Amino acid sequence: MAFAHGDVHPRILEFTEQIKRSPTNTTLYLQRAELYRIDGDYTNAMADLNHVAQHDRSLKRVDFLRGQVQQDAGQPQSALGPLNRYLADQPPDAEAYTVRARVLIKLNRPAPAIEDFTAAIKWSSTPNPELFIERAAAWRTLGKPEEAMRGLDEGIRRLGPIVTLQLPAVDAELALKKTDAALARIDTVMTRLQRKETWLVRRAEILRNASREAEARTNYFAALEAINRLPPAHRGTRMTLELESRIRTAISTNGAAR
Amino acid sequence: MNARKLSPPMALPRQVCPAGLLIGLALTAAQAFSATVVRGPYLQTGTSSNLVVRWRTEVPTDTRVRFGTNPASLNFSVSSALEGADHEITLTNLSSDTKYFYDVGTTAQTLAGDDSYFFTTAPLPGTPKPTRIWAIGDFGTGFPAQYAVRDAYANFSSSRPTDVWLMLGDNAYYTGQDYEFQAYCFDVYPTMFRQTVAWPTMGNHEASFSQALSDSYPYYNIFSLPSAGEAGGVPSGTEHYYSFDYANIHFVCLDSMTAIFRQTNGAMAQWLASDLADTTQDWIIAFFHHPAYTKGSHNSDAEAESIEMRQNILPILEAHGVDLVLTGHSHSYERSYFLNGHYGHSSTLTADNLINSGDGRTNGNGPYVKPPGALGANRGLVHIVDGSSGGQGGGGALNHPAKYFSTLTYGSLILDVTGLRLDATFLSDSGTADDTFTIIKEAPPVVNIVRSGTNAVISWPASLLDYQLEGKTTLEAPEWLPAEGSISLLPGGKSISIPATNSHHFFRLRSLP
Repeated sequence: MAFAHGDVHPRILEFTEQIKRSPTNTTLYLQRAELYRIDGDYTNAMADLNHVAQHDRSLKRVDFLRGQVQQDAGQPQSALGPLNRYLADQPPDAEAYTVRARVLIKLNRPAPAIEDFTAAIKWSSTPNPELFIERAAAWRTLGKPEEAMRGLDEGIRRLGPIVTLQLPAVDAELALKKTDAALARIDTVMTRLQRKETWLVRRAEILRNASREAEARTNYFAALEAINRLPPAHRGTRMTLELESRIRTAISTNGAAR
Repeated sequence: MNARKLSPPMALPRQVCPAGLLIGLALTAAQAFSATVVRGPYLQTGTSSNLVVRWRTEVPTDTRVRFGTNPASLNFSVSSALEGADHEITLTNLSSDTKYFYDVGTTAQTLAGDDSYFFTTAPLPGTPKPTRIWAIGDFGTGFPAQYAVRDAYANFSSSRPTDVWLMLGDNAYYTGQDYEFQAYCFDVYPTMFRQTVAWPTMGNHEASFSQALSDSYPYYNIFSLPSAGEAGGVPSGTEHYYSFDYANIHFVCLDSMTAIFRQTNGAMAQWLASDLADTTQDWIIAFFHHPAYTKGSHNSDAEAESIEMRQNILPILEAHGVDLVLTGHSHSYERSYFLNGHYGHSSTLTADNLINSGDGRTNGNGPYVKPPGALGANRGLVHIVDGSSGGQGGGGALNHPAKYFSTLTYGSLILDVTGLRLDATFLSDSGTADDTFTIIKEAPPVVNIVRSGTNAVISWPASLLDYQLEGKTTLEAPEWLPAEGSISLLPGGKSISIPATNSHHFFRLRSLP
């Protein structure tokens, strides 16, 4: 299903008018191409980019934009060529490495995608957590959870122990049957937080899955107590009520008998 | 004290410096220009103890901020010998809820600073304090109405400083370039910038309409946002989305522009759930650019950004008890009823989604009331489109059924939070209060216990909620059990009489879903 993109159409019309007045200005074509791409009009986007390429061969960025258009158009194989040309010619460009990494993921080529994500991380002054998350997913696709975890830990070293990196790292630890390491990561997250109940439940569930029932129940009860200590407004949110219900169901179940 | 330099060797506004001159100017800048402040100073990531001060000079210089509580004696100083044109320095170890005066400049001279250069640090998180919030959206146009909206607020708030300044996106038209931020943002609000911490969110214009994940927009160089939880909340690791605390309010800023962040299992959603599950603040206010509900110059039934925020992100906000969602994008003011659980096409809104279908006004149907405790999913929140602060032409049918009040009038939103009461005002560019509403959070009931003969009579006041009295004989016992006895209805509440034994008995009131 295609949805409209707000202000894009009038802006395209504005650029078209400007191009009529300044037909040799290739920057205007580049800007309109980007808007066509955002609008999902890939044919016109490529036409503008091809026009720029014909008239100004010094604009290497055209290849990057062509790659983006092809990727968005669902043609990752066609995207690869221009992105390869761009990255071969240019100084390191984190954004382009990221785009090519995603193209390679679509082409089911996780190994070179990992290299590109790594390059994107290297050349970003402040890499976005998404880069580490997507690279870890690629490592898991290759059946290498240890590498996934190492990559997430690199992100944690650079960005701090943020939950969006710690949670997939917990999953990676569990995939390696490293229960205590997973619990240690949760403890690391918990020490920085005011409210513990969600994380105590996660601990309890991990412990129960590891058949450590007594510890699991201790954590479930600790979570209940944490909920009881919350201000009433927070104790009554849908989220907290659902969590409490989950805890009570878990407590009433003998995990060892499952 | 920390100092960090971000600047390229030369950073002149493009408006005054044609591209072809850049190299020559860079080579001779120190000779050609004196050291003057051309942007700011502006305040970022303010907390009860820290504050980031940023400004730009016309030529590269070293950096110094002097500050103190007496304008005649700025007895603290932070400096950095690093030279640059964009200056950023963090003041630390400040006292909470304290007014400081400051100046900025080089280690050799003051470049900007007088009695109008001051800020007040935030109160300690969780400490209720009357708080004024000014929220503007889609404002960065340079149109006359942008100035009129600004001036109307300045008149309205002349005797009441702004504590929190929210920018709801499209802060600099047309594509959020650095020179556009200069002309349509920094040059329009110089006094606000130097006195009040600005907390922005990303609009579609800052991203040049692209929904791809990118950190390369000027927006991210211009603003210093708390990605590491510096201002309260859970660290996000990115400036795309972040949170902060002010007094008894928790603010959450989301990125509704970047497509992958709008997904249910995306990193932003995961962080959001963790962040909201960690706050204990009385109020939660979320802000982002694309509204869940609008029929203004944009249509939330037809645009992917609005649809995905509504379907994927709004359920998380509601599940954690968010009170208010502020957005822009449509160039109108549209304010909802007290809503819950509407994630579909506007035609699917039902009466069940309207927790309170009144006007929310103290002089009308009465304020929206949120009781404490377990109303579960049905707590309600107000959605506001506040996108008419820049004088852009609006449009649209303004007939979304979730909205109680909609107008194309230019204006801005003012929120006054006092304890458990929030008053909202839409102030037009001509200074009229065109919409108002109030949300009140009921305080938890107080339980009274008195002896009556051989019995103990326990009573509690009437409330919107039904409460159950529960008890246990030791606090170590895991379960609270319903108190035994018959409940009497009193004029102002309920009571229960139980035998008073010599043993300890602990009680609590538990609100029923």
